[in-house]
Amino acid sequence: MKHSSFHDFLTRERIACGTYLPETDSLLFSDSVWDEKQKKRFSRILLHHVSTGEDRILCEGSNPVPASGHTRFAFLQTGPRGPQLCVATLDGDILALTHLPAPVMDPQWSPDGKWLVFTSPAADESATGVSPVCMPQMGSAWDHTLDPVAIEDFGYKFDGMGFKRPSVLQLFVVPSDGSGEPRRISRGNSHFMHACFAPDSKHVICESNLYCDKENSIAMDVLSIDIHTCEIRRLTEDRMVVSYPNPVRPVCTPDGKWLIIGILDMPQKASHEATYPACTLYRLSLENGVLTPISRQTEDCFDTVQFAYNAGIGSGLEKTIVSSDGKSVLFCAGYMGIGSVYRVALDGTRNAPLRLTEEDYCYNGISPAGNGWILAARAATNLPEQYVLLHEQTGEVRILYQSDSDYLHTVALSEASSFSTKTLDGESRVHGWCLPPQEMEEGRKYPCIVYVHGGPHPFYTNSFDLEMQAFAGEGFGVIFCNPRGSSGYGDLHRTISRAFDGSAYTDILLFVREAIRRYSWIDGDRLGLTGGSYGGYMTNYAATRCSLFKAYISQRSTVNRLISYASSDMQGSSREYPTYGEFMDHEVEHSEIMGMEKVSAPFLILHGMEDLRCPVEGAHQLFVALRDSHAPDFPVRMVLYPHTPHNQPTEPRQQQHYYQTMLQWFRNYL
Amino acid sequence: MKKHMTCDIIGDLVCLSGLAISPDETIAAYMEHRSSREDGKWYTEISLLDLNSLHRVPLVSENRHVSLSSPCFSPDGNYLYFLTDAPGNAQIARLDMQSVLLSLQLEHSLNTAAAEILTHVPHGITRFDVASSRLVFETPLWPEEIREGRGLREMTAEERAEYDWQREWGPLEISEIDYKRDELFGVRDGSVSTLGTLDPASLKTELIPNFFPLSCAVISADGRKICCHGQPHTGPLFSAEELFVLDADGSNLIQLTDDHLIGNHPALFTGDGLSIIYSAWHMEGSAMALTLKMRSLSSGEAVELLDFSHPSTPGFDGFPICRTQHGENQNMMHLQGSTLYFLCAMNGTENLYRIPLRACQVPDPVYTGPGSLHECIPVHAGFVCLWGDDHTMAEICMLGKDREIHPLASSNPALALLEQGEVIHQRVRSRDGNVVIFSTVYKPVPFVENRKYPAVLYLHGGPEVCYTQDFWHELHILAAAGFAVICCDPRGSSGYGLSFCDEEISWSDTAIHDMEDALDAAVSLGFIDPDRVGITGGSYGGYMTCKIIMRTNRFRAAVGQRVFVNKATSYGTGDMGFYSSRKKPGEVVIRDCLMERSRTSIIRDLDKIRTPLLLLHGYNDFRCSFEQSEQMFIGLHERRPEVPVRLVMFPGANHNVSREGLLPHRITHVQEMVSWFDTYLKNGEEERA
Repeated sequence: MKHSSFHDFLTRERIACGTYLPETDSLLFSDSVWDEKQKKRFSRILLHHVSTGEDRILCEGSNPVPASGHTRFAFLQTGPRGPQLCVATLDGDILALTHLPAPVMDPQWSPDGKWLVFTSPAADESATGVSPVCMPQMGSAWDHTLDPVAIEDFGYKFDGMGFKRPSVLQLFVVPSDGSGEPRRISRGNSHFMHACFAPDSKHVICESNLYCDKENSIAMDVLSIDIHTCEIRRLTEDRMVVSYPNPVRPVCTPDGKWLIIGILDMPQKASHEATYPACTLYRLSLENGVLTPISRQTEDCFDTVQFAYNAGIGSGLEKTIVSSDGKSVLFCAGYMGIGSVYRVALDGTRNAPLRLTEEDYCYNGISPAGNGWILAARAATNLPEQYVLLHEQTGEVRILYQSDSDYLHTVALSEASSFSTKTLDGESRVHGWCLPPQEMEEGRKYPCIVYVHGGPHPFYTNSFDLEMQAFAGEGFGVIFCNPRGSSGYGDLHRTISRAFDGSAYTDILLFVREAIRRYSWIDGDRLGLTGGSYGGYMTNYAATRCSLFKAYISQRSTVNRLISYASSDMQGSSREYPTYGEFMDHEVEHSEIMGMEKVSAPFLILHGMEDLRCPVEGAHQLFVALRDSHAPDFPVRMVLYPHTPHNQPTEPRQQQHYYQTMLQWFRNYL
Repeated sequence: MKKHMTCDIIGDLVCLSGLAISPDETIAAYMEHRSSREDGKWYTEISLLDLNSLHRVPLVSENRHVSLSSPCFSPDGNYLYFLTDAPGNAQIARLDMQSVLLSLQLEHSLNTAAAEILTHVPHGITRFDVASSRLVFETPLWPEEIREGRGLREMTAEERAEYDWQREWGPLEISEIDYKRDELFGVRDGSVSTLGTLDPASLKTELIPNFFPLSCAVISADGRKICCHGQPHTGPLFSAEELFVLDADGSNLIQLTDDHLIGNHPALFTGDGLSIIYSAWHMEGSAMALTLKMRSLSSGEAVELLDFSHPSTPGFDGFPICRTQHGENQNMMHLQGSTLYFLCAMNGTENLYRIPLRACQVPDPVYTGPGSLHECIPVHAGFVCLWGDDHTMAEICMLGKDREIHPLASSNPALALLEQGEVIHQRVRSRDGNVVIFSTVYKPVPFVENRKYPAVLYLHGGPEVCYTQDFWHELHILAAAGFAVICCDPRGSSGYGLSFCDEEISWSDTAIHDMEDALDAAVSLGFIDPDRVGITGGSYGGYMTCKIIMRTNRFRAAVGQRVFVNKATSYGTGDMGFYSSRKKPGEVVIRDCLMERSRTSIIRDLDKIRTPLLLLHGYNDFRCSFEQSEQMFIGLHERRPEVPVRLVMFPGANHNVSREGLLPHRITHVQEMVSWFDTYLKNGEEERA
């Protein structure tokens, strides 16, 4: 059998936006594949006949969304100014609906099939509240990305989007038969997103921060917009409707009586050290506006969203849908490190949600399939993404499509084994996995990489992780766990202060010690530590405190709390301090950069140059501090990736460079 | 009636530099730098001036978006050499003098399409120098290009695609501590500044491969020796340059200095080619100034030419900064026989001095104002120079034997059509009585007697730089907007002798007192309303602006340009030094360093600010990093929400945004400042009678 390698990132198949068409027992989805000649990926829309296994390529494009009746579908086709909206029949007749100057995102059909609503960034002509910069008139050769940006309030930048221009996400509708131009239905200097049509096909329901402070740009209201008059009606007030990072798109019941929304359980007093709250599902009566919770937290269901760190599946699918009989709501939520699908009745009885899925798989992403079934995406540590039909009542499963099936059958994928261990303070248990090297030789000891997730609130799942498999393919074991601060293990485990007070650090060390005790193949003298974001924080934290690890790779880490305070898109707060000076001293004193002279093992820093979450300025300071305080021959290195925000690079050559740099570092020093 | 000056004038200003004189002293060539209103970038052209007829013609290219730069006459008078961008990046080209003379005679522009292109290096030539038998040039090359013999030819289409990808997307791999520079807008790209030579007869080019960067090269008159700067150090001193000499065939590279103290200016060979004259830092305590040194190539110690024990001894250069300028000034020192002429800012003007080539001289002033000399070349009739003053952009002039300035041509005729106010030079005795502060007050335009005007105190950066009598558009635009403008050189500034320029003083209260004393003296002139005064400054001036508004509410508005306020976050984010250049690695304890930085940062007193603050900052500023302005903005907005604060970010701009930046950035930079002061200093009030 072959082994995994980082080259697999280029060649693997990525599937998205699956819908099951029961009329023809087929699956409509997009898949993106690598074109070796052009050295880039392209995305196409496929129709897969389930029983015969036959595939038909319908067209190039992405994001297919079928209209009700399943004879037509909307999709996005790449143009020079970003994706634009098209509609096609299953026979392949294509009609282009938009030619906008900005990209089109997230198309949704009206139930009557006459309209499509979509999201697109639009420069807002109305007052932004900020006096515009005084720019001279320039010729056509001037590059407008260099226009100066005026800032007068918080929230002026966002990771992945850069410094906010006077541009916001707006909603547009367009007739699906091409009889009219797209028309903007939202207004103001606010975002409108996660839209869906009401069953009457005349109103669009969406989330927006139109009525919220800029500081609260994550909390949104649910609005209803009349697509003909553009009149806006506010459906929720003073509620934290969950829009980021795990949005719940509002969804209507087919009878038009109820709207299902997800609301954060906000603590009374907001503070910058607050734990990210859990989400509860509510039903909102579209008749009288009464809001009633329908889910509750139980021993078996901690939350109604899941913050899966490495799920990597279910792209373009929904997280919350209404069952085909309209009586219950199905949602994805994390439970003990496992992505699961639950069902809860929407009658307001608040019965305990029922978990429908087995623990051998990680589920993430669902869509309605009709006749008592839903489509779900799932994977396992040694199984790439597959689409299945899941029975809404019984949890019975029928496999629809296996992605990367060639890869699956020719590569010696490793299977992770999981265990948990008690925390030092006895407050909780740390659960996690060990992924052995592929085709391990009996009796041999292997170097191991301890990989810490970001957040700290996301959790590792038992999903398929290509990066970890590639390390396993290169002869490394991977240890990964969910220390304190991770969600999916209950409120106590998720407490954020435990992620930063050393508890999570000892959780990880205990888990690693237990792994070494359990598995003789782990060479305890050849351990490396890495992670991104919070994982980078933990790498920095551990590097100044212990000598267990023989190599470090700190990815997009936080370094100096004062830099994060002012330069992160999630700006901090100094309000608890009587003077700014005291705040400064406290922040610097408690920054990860402290003690960097004590780092005794080779240290590699990887950071995106457009990272606005954990600002890249931190990486500069970290590198200089390490170099400044160590002998010239001590191995310290930094690699910065242009155009890369707070994630690993996605540009194919940059991505290969990134993983090869990691691999070489661990090879050299482990 | 003359027109009112507005920010739009910035697009019309033409900056001059790079003066060259033909061997027979009949023709001058110089660069004119203009900004394009199309794409906002700077473009350079070459002007030729017949020094007898005063006929002037430009060198032109087919494509107007091609820069022609660095004119230089061959010593035999047969060619005009220059750089042209026409092949895609700057290459050495030449025109024969016959065509130059003909075009001057006919007063017809000289087309460069007929010029011979002499080099084909892949990434362009940054500088060159000419001797009769050989030219030396500098070009950035990557080590693998030298290894694979690709250093002297153009890139193939494939190599170009790869090069473009690397510049745009290529990961930046960093292992050395001194990896970034504001001048580079960020991280070094891995190229090494490499020297090459060109035989003007055979047109053969050769590279002088070296494993560390060599730059700033000059060639001796006989074409046998090259003197250049090199960067032989690693670690925290990587940027430090030393002086080198080598044979023109690339052999016998000898390092002449090892103290990281040479200046930026290219060295000068003596007439016999046996010695060199170069600039170097002279330090006394925490004061420093550039001096001139001479050294024989064969042996011996360097001799210091200037006598700093004498209080009236200027250094070399003196760093006048507050003026409209683009491109490096050249011709700051020239040797005529055994007399060395050089320029230095001193007491508010940029002056010409001369010394004999002997140790420890007190320079003899040749020209000490009015105005400022940017460049100067001795000729039989006097000195051909670039000269400007408070109302005139630097233009080509003749400094005659009468020691008077005689304009030869004007590149900025539009300026004469604009109304400019009176400029008053004040000498203010400091409150401790120890020094005299030079201060300049721009009267508002239009100016009506017996009225009181709002005013702006404009602080310079540095701190080791100075104002001189010279044209700076920002001050005139503020004056034309109805503000009196006060600029001064507090202690810590260069250009007033060694003891004045003390680094410790410049960060102390004494410097603040000097600024306040200059302001008070300006107010005593009678036309400034002391209740409507704003303050601004960039870099060190931005530091001072923030520091002052944390101490006093005297100022009604403040504009902090590229501020430096928080040392706990500036560590490692800007390019300003490392602990390991002074301490051993084991002695650097990060906690101690950063807590000390936190305790001594001026931003600690942020809570005291009541003054409306505008912050202007380039996003690619790697001197005072952009995050410094974010520290001020977020902190002030959070803790003092009632105090108006605005931050304007200039994408892609570095620490030089207001001087060398893109045209719309320079315009916006001034316009934002004017608007801010309009809002908070005028407040809708008519000027008080």
